[in-house]
Amino acid sequence: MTKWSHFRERAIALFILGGLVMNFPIMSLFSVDGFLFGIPALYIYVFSAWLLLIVLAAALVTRVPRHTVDRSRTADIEPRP
Amino acid sequence: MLQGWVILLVALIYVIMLFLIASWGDRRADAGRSIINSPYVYTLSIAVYCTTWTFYGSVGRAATSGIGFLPIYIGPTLMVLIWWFVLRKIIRICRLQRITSIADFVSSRYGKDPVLGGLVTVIAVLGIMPYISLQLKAVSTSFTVLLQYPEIAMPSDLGRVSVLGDTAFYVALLLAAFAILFGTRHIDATEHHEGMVAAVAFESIVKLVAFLAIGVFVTYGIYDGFGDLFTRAAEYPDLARLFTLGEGVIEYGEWFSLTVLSMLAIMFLPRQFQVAVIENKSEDHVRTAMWMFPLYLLAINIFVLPIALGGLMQFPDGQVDADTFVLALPMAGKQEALALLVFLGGLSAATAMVIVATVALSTMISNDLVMPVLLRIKRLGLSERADLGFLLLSIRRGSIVIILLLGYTYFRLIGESYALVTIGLVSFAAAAQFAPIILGGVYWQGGTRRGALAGLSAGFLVWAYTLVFPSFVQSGWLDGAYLTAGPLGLVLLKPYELLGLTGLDPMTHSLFWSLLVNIGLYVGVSMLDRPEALERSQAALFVDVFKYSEEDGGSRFWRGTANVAALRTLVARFVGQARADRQFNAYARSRGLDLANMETASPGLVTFAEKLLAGSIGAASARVMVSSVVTEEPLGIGEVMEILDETSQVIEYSHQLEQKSHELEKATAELRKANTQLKELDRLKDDFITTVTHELRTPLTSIRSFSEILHDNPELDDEQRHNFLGIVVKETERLSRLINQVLDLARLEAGETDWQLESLDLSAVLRDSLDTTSQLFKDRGIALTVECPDQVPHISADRDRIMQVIINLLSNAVKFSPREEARVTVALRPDGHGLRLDVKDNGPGIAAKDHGAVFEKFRQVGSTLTGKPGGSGLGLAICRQTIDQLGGRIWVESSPGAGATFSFILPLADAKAAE
Repeated sequence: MTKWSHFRERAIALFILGGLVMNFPIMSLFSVDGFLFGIPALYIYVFSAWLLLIVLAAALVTRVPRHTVDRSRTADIEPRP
Repeated sequence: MLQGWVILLVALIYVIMLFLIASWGDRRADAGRSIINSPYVYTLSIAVYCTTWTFYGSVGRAATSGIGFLPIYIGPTLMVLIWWFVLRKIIRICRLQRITSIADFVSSRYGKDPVLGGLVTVIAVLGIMPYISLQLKAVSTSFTVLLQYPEIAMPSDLGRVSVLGDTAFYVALLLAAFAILFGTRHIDATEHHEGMVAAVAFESIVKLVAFLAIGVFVTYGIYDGFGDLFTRAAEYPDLARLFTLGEGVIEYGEWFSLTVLSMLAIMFLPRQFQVAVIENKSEDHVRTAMWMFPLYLLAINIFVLPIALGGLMQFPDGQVDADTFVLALPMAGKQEALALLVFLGGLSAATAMVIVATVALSTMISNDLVMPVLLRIKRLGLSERADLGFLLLSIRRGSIVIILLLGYTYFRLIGESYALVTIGLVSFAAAAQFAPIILGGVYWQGGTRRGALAGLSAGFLVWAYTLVFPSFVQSGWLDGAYLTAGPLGLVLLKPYELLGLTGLDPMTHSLFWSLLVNIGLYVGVSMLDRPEALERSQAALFVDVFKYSEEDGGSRFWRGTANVAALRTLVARFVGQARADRQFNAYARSRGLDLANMETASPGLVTFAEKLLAGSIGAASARVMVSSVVTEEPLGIGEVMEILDETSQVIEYSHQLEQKSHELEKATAELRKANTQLKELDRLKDDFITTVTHELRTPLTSIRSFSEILHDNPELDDEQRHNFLGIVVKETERLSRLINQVLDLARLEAGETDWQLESLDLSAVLRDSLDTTSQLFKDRGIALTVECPDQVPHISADRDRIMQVIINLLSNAVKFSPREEARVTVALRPDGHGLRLDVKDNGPGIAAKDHGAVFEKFRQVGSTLTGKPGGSGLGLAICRQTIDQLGGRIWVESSPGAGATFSFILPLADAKAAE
């Protein structure tokens, strides 16, 4: 149970974090005339922040206690002949 | 090599390949070896989100607003982070309720209301029309552009074509045929369209590969990597502008509103709902999709900016529409195969979207719009028709064709004057209108049917007014004054500046107002509303879905009686006899029921049948059909209480609490009573000890004083000495008698008596007793009358004990007799099955209230009247104990001033033996 509530908290925290880094005003910090490896700073920022969110999400879900695969959906309806 | 026939042939081969994949998927599903039961296929099928909007439109959008195309993908990325709670809950609800579409979901949540389901369907169809037209436009444009190879010409340059000469028209028909073939094979819409999902997942791979290919071509073929491309673009002031956010690119407000919009779209677009919820095979797949789907989005978007910038640099004169850069760039580079691959990628993006969307919409149209109406028209007699499966399929097929033709019409009327993304956003905003009533319905039990109806219709009207009507101006349908001066010159009603709200882009503006009235009315009306019983029960089932059991979800709220055979026939008419039989038998098996011998269906079976039907015809229609064979009883107050589960639990607790406190009160009262008794006993004990010690002290005192006299006066004469010693002996006897009595009583009470039961002649015992006490009577001058027959029946008793009782009664009578004219009558006679002895005196008598008390130990009643009566207060208690022990009864009849009669009755020896 504790593990579940932890997961819930972390997912929501990640959601809020994503909402923050992908919005004004944090994005405006990178909306500048600068380049990194020849790529505009804003592009670099947006895509790497995005990738970071995905990595964190992946790290998060792999720690979820394995949900029992729901048999009922298929069990309700037998396979067609 | 890019002649028309080549393109068509490649397209045809591609479509045939899709058919093969789809039918392979269906066959595998039939064999019970599903290929879509995989988190990766699930993720890829959700990627149906990426349509030609993404494939062609993103580049077009990026060419004018830099990263302004991205919020559409950032939003879903954020939303999937909380999918484990939100989406999984919706999936669980849909599985338990056998929900077939988003309209079904809404209708089911709000009391299975057909009106609401119909409204959602209408909004979905109208809202998605622009989106479908966008696909048609993209496919026909890409085909037309490709056809011009090696020239690069835009369709708009080619002039208007007739409908019959229009590629888009044929694309529409082809897509309709495809959707019909794969989307409407089976009647039960809750069954997975496995073939369709497999094909869609495959298409997601094709479009990703195609887009990555063109991206790599532009970035590494035309230019020398990202750095080179961006550095070159930076040299153009016009392009460098796209590297930042803000004025002229994309405002933060718009960025934010597009993010929110796409967060809602990823869940509530009918086709997303279809793939993510209805086609979901396992809740566990959501877990993988939570990170893999954003990764897909990231991958398909990496090259958007390079392609857009590359296109802008390659076609600087603006002759080429940015929406076609993806195709125009390889064409300009003479990469025919790549161009063809891109065309296929676009085609796959379009077909996937159109197929899923039309299947979702056609299910909604048939289940939530047409069937409820048809079933209600009595004249058609549909509810009596034997086989409705074919009708159902025909409605779905017909509606697929109609949806695509509507999309085509929209395209002809509006589409050509708008960019792809702008068209698509209109649909997003329509789908967003479902968000409040669905999210509210899943997390808030208070949302009601009327609230949902009010919120949804208001939101829809504002959406149409602020987003759809203005587009009619562009296409010349409406006077431009509608936009600039407001309808009928009412400035406050200007569709882009409603109530004078300025400073927002049209999309943000529309989203703000429509969601404001939507949420406002939904919440407001719901709060003032009183939901009906069914609404309440559905609300509880939806909001607390994880609490209710998997199997019989809902049946506890159903009260009705139905005939089993009627239910079976009903289900068979929709799903077919064989399947109905199988399902019912499986149900019976799993619950150990014998349906053949069952007359009345259990609530669980009725719910099961309704859900089976709901899978085919939707919740609202299923309800109508089932009620036609079920005599439904209104929910009793008990059920309603149960429905309000939380409340009922609280009430139950408080009931229990109340009961407990009642019990506690009762226990307390008993305790108090026991305590009082204990205190009384304690007091009695104290009294007893006082009495006993007093009684003991009297003889002790005289023993001691006479002993001292004897000790101190040796000169006393013999006579005196003898006299005093006699007193000492008498007092000692009295002392031991008293002690014996106390011990006797204690033994009697403890049941430790050593009885010598024998057959007794009570008259003899009485005479002995009278002899023993005769001196007492003589001393007091009491007239004694004895009435005793010569022969009395024998009793079974202990002689000494009985004698003690009689002596006690006699001495008591003596004790309480008056000083003058004292009379005591003793009478012994048979009475019924026993022998009765009365001892009557003419003393002061005993008040009625004390008749019981005189037999209690240590009680000496009448002490207030007559002063201390003397004695230990144990005599009568011992009598009662003895008589009780012998199975008899002892009592007193008396009234103050009229003497007292003590009587006991003992059972006869033979009567006792007879027992």
